[in-house]
Amino acid sequence: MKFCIVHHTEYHYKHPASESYAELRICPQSSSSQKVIKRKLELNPVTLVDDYEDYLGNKVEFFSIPYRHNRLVVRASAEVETIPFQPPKEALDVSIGEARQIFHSQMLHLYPFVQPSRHVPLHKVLAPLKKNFIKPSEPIGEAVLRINSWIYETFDYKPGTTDISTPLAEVIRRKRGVCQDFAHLMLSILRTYELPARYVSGYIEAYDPTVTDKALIGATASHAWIEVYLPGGYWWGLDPTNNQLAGERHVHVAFGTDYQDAAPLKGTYKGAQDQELEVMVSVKRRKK
Amino acid sequence: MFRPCWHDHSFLDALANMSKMTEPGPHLFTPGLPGGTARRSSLRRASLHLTDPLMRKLQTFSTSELKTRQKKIESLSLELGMHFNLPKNSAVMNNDWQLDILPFVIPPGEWKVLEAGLIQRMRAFGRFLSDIYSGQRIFKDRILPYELIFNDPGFLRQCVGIQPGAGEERHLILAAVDLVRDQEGQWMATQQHCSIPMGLSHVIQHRRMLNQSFPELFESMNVQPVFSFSTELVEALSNLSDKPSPHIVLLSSGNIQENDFEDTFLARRMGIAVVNPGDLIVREGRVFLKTIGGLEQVDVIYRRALSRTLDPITFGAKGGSGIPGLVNCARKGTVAIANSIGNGIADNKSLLRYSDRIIQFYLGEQAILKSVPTYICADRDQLDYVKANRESMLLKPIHQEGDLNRIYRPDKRAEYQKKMELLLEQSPEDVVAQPYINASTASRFENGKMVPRPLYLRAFVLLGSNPIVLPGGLTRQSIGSDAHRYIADLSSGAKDTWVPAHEEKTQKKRQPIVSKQSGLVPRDFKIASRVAESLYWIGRYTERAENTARMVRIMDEFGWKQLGRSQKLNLWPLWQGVAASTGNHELLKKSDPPRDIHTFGLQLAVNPKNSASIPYCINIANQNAMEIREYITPEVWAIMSRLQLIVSDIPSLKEADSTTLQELCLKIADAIAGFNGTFHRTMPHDESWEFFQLGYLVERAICTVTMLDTVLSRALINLEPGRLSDPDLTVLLRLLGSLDAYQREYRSRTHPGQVAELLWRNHQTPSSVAFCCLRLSYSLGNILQMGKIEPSASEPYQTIKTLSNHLESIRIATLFPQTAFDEDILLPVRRANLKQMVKRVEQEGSRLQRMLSAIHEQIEDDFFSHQTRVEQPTLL
Repeated sequence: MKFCIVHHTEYHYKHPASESYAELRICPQSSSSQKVIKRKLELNPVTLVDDYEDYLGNKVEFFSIPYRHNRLVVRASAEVETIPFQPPKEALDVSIGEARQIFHSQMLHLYPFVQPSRHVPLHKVLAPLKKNFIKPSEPIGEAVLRINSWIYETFDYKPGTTDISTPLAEVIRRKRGVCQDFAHLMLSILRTYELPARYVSGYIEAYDPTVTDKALIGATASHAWIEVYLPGGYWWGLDPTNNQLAGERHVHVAFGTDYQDAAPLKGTYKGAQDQELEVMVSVKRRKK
Repeated sequence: MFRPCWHDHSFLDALANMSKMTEPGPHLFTPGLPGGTARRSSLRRASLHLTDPLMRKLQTFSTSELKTRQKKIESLSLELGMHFNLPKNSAVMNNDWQLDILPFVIPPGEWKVLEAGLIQRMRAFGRFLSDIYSGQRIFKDRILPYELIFNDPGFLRQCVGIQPGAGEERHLILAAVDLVRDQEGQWMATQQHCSIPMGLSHVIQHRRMLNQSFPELFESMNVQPVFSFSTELVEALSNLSDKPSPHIVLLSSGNIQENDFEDTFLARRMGIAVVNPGDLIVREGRVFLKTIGGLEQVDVIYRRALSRTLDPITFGAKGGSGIPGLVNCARKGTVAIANSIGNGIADNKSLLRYSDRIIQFYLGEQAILKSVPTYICADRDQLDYVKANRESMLLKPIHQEGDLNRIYRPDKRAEYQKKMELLLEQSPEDVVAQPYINASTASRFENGKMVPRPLYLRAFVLLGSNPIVLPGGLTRQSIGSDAHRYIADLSSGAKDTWVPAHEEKTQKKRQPIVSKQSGLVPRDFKIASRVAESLYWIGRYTERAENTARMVRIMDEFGWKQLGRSQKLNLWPLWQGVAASTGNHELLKKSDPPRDIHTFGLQLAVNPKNSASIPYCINIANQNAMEIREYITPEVWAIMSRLQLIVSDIPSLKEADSTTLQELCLKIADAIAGFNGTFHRTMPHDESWEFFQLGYLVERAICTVTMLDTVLSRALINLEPGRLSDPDLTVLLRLLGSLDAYQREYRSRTHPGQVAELLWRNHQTPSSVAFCCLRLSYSLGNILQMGKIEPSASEPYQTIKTLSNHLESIRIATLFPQTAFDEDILLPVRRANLKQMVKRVEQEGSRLQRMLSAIHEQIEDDFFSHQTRVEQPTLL
C-alpha cells in the first residue's frame, strides 16, 4: 500500500526560547517491508540540518536554532510504499527452547535486546501478573502471538493516564496505558524469557478506507510496537495495542531498546519551563 | 649495603651499622629483573652506587634539621591551598597527602623496563578502545567475553562508530597506571585510569615543594625533570587537530570538588583555559566557546568531566546540563576530545585479568608489565576461589559508575571493607578480588624516625605519535594501620618520585619537538560569557535588593493605620510604584489599597518567593558568585558572607513589626553599600568588572523609569486643582534617593515636570536615566574596546546612544504644559489638558521602559547567549 504521511510537531513557548538544539528520529527508511519513495523535512525557524546514522541504524537529523524564537515547527512529509512481508513458517515453528539456543550463538549482536533498559525492567516487575507466559516446547510464533493478544485483552488503552515517566510497574498495576507502555510491557515479557526484541516507533493508518473498519489506535501521533527476533535473522513485527501483526498498514521509522533510543524528537533549549506541544500525524492511503 | 628506599630497618640504625654488615638483611630487594638472581650482586652494587650520594647527603643533617624541613613542606602545602582558593575541607588543605622529605628513587635499569611495559600496555589498550567502539574484533575472535564490557555502564553504546580522527590510537592520550612492587622486585599493575587520570598536578607540586624545602637533596644526583610534562601534554593535544594553532580548552565538570584544583593547575601550566559545560555551545556541527568577544571555535577538548554528563541529548541525563550535540561534533570530527568519550570502560578491573591477552591480540607481543592476579566474581568458579581464600583477598568494585562510586571513597576507609563484603554477597558480578601483595616498602620520615611503609606508584603515560612516560610519578604510602595497605587510593602519604638521569650514557635523545605553538603570541583569554553573565546578574540583583530595602523602609515609616483616607489614597500610588519596580505588576490594577500595608511591605521585602525580595536577590547573587568564585576576591567574599548572614535571620521575621523591618532594611542597605565599595576597591577593573557595572546600571535605570511611570501618571490624575506640590512627589524623590538633588537643583516645591526633568534627563543625579545611560555607554565602550569591537557594530551600544539622544530631545515644557497647571485657566479646560498630559507621560514612560528592556536583551544576546538576530521568519 502506498501512503502519504505528514508528521507535524509544534512547540509554543510562553517566553522566547534560545540555544535550542534537537535530534529527530522521524525519517523512515527502506527495508524488506517498505520502500521510501519521497521524503521532505521542513523546519520553522529555518535552519541548517545535518544527519548521521546511529548505532541502531536509525537516520538521525539534528539542528540548532541560534536565535530567540517563540515557536518551533518540525514538519516531515513522506511517501512510503509498504510491502507485505512475513517471516517464513519455518522460522515461526521453531520451539522456544531451540530458538534460545540459536540466539546464544548470535548473542554478540543481540545482547542489548535481551537486557533490561531504562523503560524496560525485567523479571521482578512481571511478578504481580502471576503468569507463566511461555513454555519452552511451544513454537515461537504461537507463543509470541498469544502474548500479543493477551496484552490487548488484559490492558485498557487510556490516553492521558500515563506519560513517558510512568514506570512499567505502575502500568502493570493499573492495567492501562498507551501504545508505548504496551510495547514496553511486551518487551519486558519477551526479554525476561530471553527472546531478543526491539522497540519500533513509526506510523499506522488509522482508518482503512476500503472498509468501514474500527479505527486503529495510534493515528494522531507516532505509534509504537515491537519486533521480536526469529531464527534465521528475521525481525517480526507485532502490535499489542491493536492486537495485530505489524503489516501493510504500519510504517516503521526508528528502532531501539526502548522509547529512549527511538524518541521522535529529543531536544533542549534555554528559557522558561512552560511550553506547549502539539503533534499531528496524518497517514493517507494513495491509490496506486 | 642496601638502598635506603627498600628496607624496613630503621634508616639511621642501618646507616650506623653500614660498615658492619656484609650480608643483606631480611626483606631486602634488589632491582627487579624478573627472576634474575644471578646478576643480583652487580646490580646491587650499581644501585648502591646510585643512592650513595643521597644517603651521604642525608647523613649530613641532624634529626631536628630534618624535622624543620618536614615542617617547611607542610607550610608550603598550606600556601598552595590558599593560592588555589580551595574549599576548606579539601585534602590538600588538610595535608592529607603528606609529602615525605625522602624521595623514592627508581634505578634507571628498572625504570627502563617499567617504561617499556607501560607504553606497550597503554598502546594496546588504546587499540582496545578503538576496537570495541568500532569493529569489535576482540569479541568476534573470542579473546574477551563481551558480557564484561556490555554490562559495564561505562561502555557507551552510542559512541560505537565514532572514530576520533585518522589513526588508530586517538582514543587514549593520557593514561595512568597504578603499580605495586612485590618482594621479588616485580612491578605489577593493579588498576588503570584511561578516562580521567588524576594526580599529575600533585606530581609537579611534590617536586616543587621538595625542591623548595630541601634543595640540598637535589645536589646529590641528576634527577629527570617532570615540569616539561605539561608541555608535552599540550603538544599531544595539539597534534589531534589539523589546524596549525588549534584552540584547546580543558573541560571541567564545574562541580566544586578536589578535581578543581588539578584542573586549574594543569590548565595554567598548559596555557589553556578551563571551561565548564555551560561555556560551550554547539552550532552547525561545531563546538564554540561563549566569550564576551563572541563565539570562538574550539578544536580540541581536554576532557576532565565524566563522559555521561557531557551530552544530555545523546546520554539522556536529566536536567539538560551538559553540551547538547557534543557527541555529534566528535562524530563529524570537527572537535577532538581527549581522552575520548566512553574511555571509562577501559578502567573496568576485570580487564586486568586479560591484559596479557589484550597486549598479545593488538600488538602481537608478550606483555612486559603484568597485572596483579585478578579474580572476577561474576564467574562462579572464581567466586568460589575468592570465598575460600577470603582472608588473603582484597575486594574492589569492578567499575566506578553510579552506586559503586559511592563505596570507593578515601574518606570512608572504615566502611569500605564492610560495604565490599556486602556487595560480594548480594551482587558478586560487581566485585573483583586481588590477593594482598606484600608490597615493597620504603622508609618514611615520621616524627623524627625512619619508618618503613609500603608504597604504590601511579605512573603517567602520554600516548600519541611519540609515547612517553612521566619520569617518576605519584608515589603513595599508607601511613599507620596495616589493614588498608594495598589500596592505593586510600593511602595518604606521598613521596616525590625520582628517576635519575643517566650519567655516562647520554639520555636517549628525544626529537626536539617542533612546537606548533612556538613563535606565536600566547592566546588572549577572552572572558567566558558565563563569567560576564554572572557578574552582570550580581550587579542587577544587589542593586535590586538595595532598592527594595530602601523603598520599603521609607514607605513603612509613614505608618498606615493612623492615616486618613485621602492620605492613604495619595500614598497608594507610591506603594504601587514600589511594587511595580520590584516586579509585582498585578498590584497596578488595584485602585484601592489593601487594609494592612505593613504586611504588604513586609512581604515585598522578606518573602523569598517574591523575585524582588531581599532574600531572593541576595541568594541569587550569591549563587552567581559561587559559580565564578575564582573571579571573586576574598574581600568581596567576606561581605557576601555578611549579607548571607543577615538574610539567614530573615525567616524569623515573618511577623516583624515596623521597627524590626526598618532595622533590617538599614542593615541590608549598609551591607550592600559596603559590597559595592569593596567590589570597586578590590576587583580588577577588567571587562568582568564592567559587566557588573552594566548590571546595576540597567537595574537602576529600570527602577527609576518604572517608578516614575507608575507614580507620575497616578499622581497627576489625583492632582487637585491648585495643588502643584504634592507630598507624593516628595516621597517619590526620597524613594529614589534624589530629594536632596532636587532641592539643590530647583529650590522650590515639587513640580511633576521638574521631577521628570531630574530623573529622566539630568546627567549628574545617580538615579537619573540619563546618568545611567552615560555610564552604561562608558562601560560598554570599554568592553568593546578591550574586545576590539567597533561601537557601530554593537547593537546595545547603539541602542544606548539612541536612548541618550531621545532623552536629550524630550521637551519637558511640551510634555508638562503649564496649561495643565495654570490656575487661571478654566477648570474643564485644565482637566482636559491634564488628561492629555497624563496620556503622553504614560506613553513616554512606556517608551523608555521598552528601550531599556531592549538594551538588556541585546546585551544578553551579544555577550551571553550569542543569539543571532533575525527577522520573524515567514510561516511555511
